[in-house]
Amino acid sequence: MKSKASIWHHWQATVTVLFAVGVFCFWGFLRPWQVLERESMQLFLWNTDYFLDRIAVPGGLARYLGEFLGQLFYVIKYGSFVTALLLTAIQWLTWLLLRRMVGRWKNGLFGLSFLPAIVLCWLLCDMDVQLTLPVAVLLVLLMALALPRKVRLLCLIVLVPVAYWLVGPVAFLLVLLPFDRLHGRAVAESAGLVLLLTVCVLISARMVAYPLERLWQGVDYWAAQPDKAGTDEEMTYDYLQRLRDWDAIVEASYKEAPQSLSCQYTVLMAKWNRKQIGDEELKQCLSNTNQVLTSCTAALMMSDLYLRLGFINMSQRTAFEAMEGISNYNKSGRSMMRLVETALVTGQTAVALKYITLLEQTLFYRGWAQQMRGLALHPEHIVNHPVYGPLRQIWEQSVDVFFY
Amino acid sequence: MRGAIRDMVLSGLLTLLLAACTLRPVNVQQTDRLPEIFPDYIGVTIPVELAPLNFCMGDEDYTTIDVEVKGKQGGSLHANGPYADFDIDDWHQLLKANAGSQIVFSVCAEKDGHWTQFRDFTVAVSRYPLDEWGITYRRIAPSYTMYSHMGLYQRDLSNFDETALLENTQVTGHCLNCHTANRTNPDQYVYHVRGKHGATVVHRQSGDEVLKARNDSLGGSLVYPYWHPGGRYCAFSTNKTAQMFHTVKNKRIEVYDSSSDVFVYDTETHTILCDTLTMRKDWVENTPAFSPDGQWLYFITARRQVFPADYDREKYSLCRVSFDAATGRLGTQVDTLVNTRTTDKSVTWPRPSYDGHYLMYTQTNHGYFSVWHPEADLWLLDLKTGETCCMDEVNSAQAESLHNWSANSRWFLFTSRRGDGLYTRVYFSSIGNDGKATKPFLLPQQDPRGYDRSSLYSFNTPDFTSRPVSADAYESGRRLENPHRTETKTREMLH
Repeated sequence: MKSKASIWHHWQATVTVLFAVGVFCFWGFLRPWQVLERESMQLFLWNTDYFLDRIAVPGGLARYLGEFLGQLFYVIKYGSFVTALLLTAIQWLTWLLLRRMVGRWKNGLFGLSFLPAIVLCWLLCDMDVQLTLPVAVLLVLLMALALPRKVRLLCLIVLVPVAYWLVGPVAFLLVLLPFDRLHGRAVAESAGLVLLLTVCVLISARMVAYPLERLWQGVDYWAAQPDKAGTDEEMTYDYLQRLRDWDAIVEASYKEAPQSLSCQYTVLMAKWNRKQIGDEELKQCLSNTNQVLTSCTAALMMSDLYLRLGFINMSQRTAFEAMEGISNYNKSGRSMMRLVETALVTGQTAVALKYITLLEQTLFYRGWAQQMRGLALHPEHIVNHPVYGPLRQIWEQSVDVFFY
Repeated sequence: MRGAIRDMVLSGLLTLLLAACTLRPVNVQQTDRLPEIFPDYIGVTIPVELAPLNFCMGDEDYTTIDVEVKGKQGGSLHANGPYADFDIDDWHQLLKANAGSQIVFSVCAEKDGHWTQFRDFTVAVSRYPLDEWGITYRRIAPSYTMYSHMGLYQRDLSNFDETALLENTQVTGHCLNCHTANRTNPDQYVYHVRGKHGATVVHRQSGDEVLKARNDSLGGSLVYPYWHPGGRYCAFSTNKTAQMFHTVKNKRIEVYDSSSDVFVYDTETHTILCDTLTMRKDWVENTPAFSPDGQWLYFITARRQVFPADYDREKYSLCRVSFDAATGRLGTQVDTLVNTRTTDKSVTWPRPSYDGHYLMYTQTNHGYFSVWHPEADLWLLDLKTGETCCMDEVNSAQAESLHNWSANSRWFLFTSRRGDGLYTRVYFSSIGNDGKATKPFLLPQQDPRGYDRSSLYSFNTPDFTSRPVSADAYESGRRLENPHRTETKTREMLH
């Protein structure tokens, strides 16, 4: 009885916690492949230059923090947890802000407070929507709540340009704050703030190398070049092949035949591993080397496949294409790992060291990169490596065949 | 009061900390070896105007380097730290005082707590000025078919300042290429943009003209430009370019053209002057360049091959044909200056010096897209004697190409992959009266190793610029987004 009363009294917190658990389960169990794929599309570096590069552009702090969180997506449960935390924080802060603006506690508003978080969760199902957007929303909510109630307008006049530079055009939400007092001047104040924000955007167009349209939309809220990341199908198959879950791949293909060429080739690899097909059938994977690269995910998947087949240059090429194809010009830790491997196998140790140096400035690739540094500094040991040694042998004995 | 004392103590501690970090050589052991430094600036010849030659030890186990630089005609400098980072103003003073002479570097380096003093080395300070303010180039990853961030940039050669002229964040997802000025003059240049808002942009003092990217009669775009010295004409080629990829070691990509032709574009009448001499059926013509007096058009030509089977049989010869600027017409006879039948090699990127003495080109085993050919080397054709020689002084085991001259033709720059075999960097050298080049030096960077390790870009098509290029990226972007394009027309010249 006592715990039931406690739950009723704290029902809002309970619902919020349930929401968080729901978001965690959604990403962790229903879309784990997308969590991993998000991390594949970035390379967060722990150095000053990376930070300065980001904040040199409007919305840069939101992007930096979004990518900081994005690096944790390397582990599915961390990524799911981070997403749950982010969206739940947005929900709760929205609730606090609504309460402050309305001035009276209302149950109905609590339900409304979930709307931004739910919409953002739905948007994040599209790989073209970056983590920058929910982080920007979170930061704006924090700014709004941090403002003192008195001398509000003066604070907003200072805050709006700063917020725009730090989080991007989501700072627009701040111009709605004067409406909390519902006085006649609210419209005029908001209009003035809209004008101020407009001027900020126009000035920033002269300061940074982005077109005005892009600055209005937010430089990194959504992909400037959409549909390059990959389809749900490609991400699912990529996830399964990274786990080497050949059974699941074959079962998925029986349920619904894959549309994407890279997925079809992955099915062939899975069947070959299950001894359902022979070497000759598997060779089909080597055709259409250009047409198969329908997205960054497809390219990453094919890079793994080509490496397994012993085609080093093809694996290298597709990893490079995947990285260069990322819509917001990010680099990819996953691609870079592959480029280290192929550079070591092909004897380009100086190139490998360049990539290793960068990976050593990351959280999850650092340890592996440090191991690879040993190989790069002592390339004579590569021939004895259980994986790279045989690959080096295959590559050295390759007959030059062109692929397109 | 407490705050003031606290501040003083903190300042003192900070000073002590800094002093401790600046390790000075003690118990130094001498060796007769030259230091292995990165970049390798030992024995190079540099212009007076150049930025400091900052360098570090090649072996990363050396954690501190202490360098004394003394000019033979006076002056000195000192640097100490993880790399030699010279003060820019002091450096320039030292070079000015030693123009035509040498500066001597004494390098001490510390590894595992032990200091080693290496043999001194010299750097010559040329008496020939490099009058150009800086260089322009494109920075792009050494990619295959996809490309990420890239841009056209300029760099002040007297310091480390780089500014963007145009980046493809301004025109999202577009490829920017072929930025070419008229004899280092930033008041006249052309560049090409490929993508949804594709165009060829011609910049002159009167403003920018945005040409339609492709000419339908021509069937292709205007690429590989080279200006006529008079400024009215610009030679281009139009190419159907494709790529194929190697599975064999140390080669990644083979770029080839299924067709290409050379023509001259009249900027005043917007007319593409198509001449059958440089647009022959069954032949591919490419990479044009005008002589400094404007009377000759150099280009390369090869018989078209079947790809991929005969990819290594496509070998270009270097040719020239006369050009009459008054009429815009080519001559009737094509001279072959370097014949692939004699050399069994392929010539590409002819670049005559502006004093008319030499023509520098890249030689490869086959093809013309030299940056992916490790065997690509720089060669020099003496236009007075007709003799060619391989520039062994500047070549390496990796690709050298995409060279250009300074206006006084004493200096030249080129790209090389000698560093790691993949990422192209800009090198400089000078030519003496004997036609011999000096040891090339890498474009200086503030933190050379840091830059080299962190940069994922190659330098592409560098060129000197006499003054800073005045470019408004915002306006350039807006012009490109505007759908208006100037149409070009063609005029056939039959022989």
